[in-house]
Amino acid sequence: MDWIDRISLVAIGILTVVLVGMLVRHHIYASPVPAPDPAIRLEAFYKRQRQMDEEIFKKPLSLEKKGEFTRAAALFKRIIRTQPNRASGYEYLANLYLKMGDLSKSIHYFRMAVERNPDYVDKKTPIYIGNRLKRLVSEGREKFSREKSLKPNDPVVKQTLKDIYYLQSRLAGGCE
Amino acid sequence: MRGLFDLSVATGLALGLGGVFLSYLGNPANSGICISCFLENIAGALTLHHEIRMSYIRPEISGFILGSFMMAISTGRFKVKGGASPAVRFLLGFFMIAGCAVFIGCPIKMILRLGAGDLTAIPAALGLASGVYIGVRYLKGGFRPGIPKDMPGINGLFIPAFALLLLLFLWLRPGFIAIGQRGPAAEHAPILIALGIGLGIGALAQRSGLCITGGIRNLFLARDLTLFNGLVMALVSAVVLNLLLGSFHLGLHAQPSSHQAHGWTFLAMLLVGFSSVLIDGCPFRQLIKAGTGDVDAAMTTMGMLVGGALVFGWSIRSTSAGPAFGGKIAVIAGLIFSVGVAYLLRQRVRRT
Repeated sequence: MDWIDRISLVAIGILTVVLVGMLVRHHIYASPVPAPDPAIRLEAFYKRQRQMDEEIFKKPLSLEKKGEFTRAAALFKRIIRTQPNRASGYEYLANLYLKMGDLSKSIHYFRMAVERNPDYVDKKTPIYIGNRLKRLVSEGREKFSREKSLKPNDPVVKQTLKDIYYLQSRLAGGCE
Repeated sequence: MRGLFDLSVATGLALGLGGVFLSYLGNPANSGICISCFLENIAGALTLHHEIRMSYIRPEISGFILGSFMMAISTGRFKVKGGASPAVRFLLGFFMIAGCAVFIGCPIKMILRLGAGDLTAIPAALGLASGVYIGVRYLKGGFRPGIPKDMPGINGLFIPAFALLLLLFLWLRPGFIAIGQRGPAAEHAPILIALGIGLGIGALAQRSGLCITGGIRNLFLARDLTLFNGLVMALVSAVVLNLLLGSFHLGLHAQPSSHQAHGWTFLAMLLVGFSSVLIDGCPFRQLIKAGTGDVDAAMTTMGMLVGGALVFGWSIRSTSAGPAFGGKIAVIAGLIFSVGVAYLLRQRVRRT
């Protein structure tokens, strides 16, 4: 072992001690306040989101309450055009179409909501609606499979079945 | 030879049972073991991409590498070699993961998906076999990526040390590591069990040489069934355990992480099969080889990790809605690159 080797080993030793010391010091002093539970943070995040959504979609929601479904749908769509990535708008619209009895459109907008925010089908989040979607998709699949055999080239039926398959796959879970 | 045959089957059994069991214990459905998904998760945890739902340090990956490393050390098979077209391997590793992301799964996950009754994995199997067949034609036609040479030992320790570091990060959770609390990141088996299964499979795979594409390649190249029997065992054991656990659902629809773009599935796995033959091993085999001191496989592993990050950054992947435009482009670009590499690295026989 020559002097270069000796200096190298001493340097590695000193730097390692310094590194470990810095890490220990950081671990002891850097975070005196424990971080809040992730589930609580998520709950709070979605509570704020819901308040913002209610503000943004105030008018169409009030029209929906009054039973003016067609006007409410048009207004939801107008707001969605300005905020196309806000998943909650599609969820509101999907619920509205369900009230109006249009299963095909309802399924389509639920798909758009899930595409933009997969938390809708994640049991660990407060906005999980998976069980409702499962019932809806099961009802839709039965209805539109029947319709497909009667109208095999109908584009609406084809699209609805695609939406159903998409939702079924998301509801099944997996690494996506 | 007989012992090796048995070991391939044993490794296949461990992969099939381990994959299904890990899903049962908490890993995402049909993704009990998936090299591409897990590397995407690790890339996210290292904040190489910012999809928090896909950010988690999967201990199985460290287990595969360290299991292989420890087995190689204890049996005197740890040999540090490399230098056979490392840059090409890095890029092919990247494209392999891009192909996997378009299918939504690596070749092992393809077997696990088939084993759970997912019929959308059939075009993937056909694509993978076709890709391997094309690769075999190039091998027979003189494709040679270069001869690996002995290298200083520290080069071979790089990937095992990285695997160990990942375990440390998972344990200590320093501030720069992102661990998702929802989505697939939040779905994981208990850490010690996942690590244990990874170590066991890694050690077995180092001894048996099991490789998904290698099994198909040997069948095409030399009619050798040794490794292929391991694949069959992985599939059969996955089917049996899924049936026992009630997680077998035969069909094309309602399958976890699947889509209906079967043509793209075929092409994506054709890319994976072809590139795997060019760099001598599927994504899983690359990890195992990287654990035994193969520096070229280490370069491929780094390429795969970068791929795991960029499939999100550049959106070159699929969702249940099908492949994104970027994913389709990546598959075509990957095929062009693979054919280009195979063309340029051929040693042609001169006729006089």
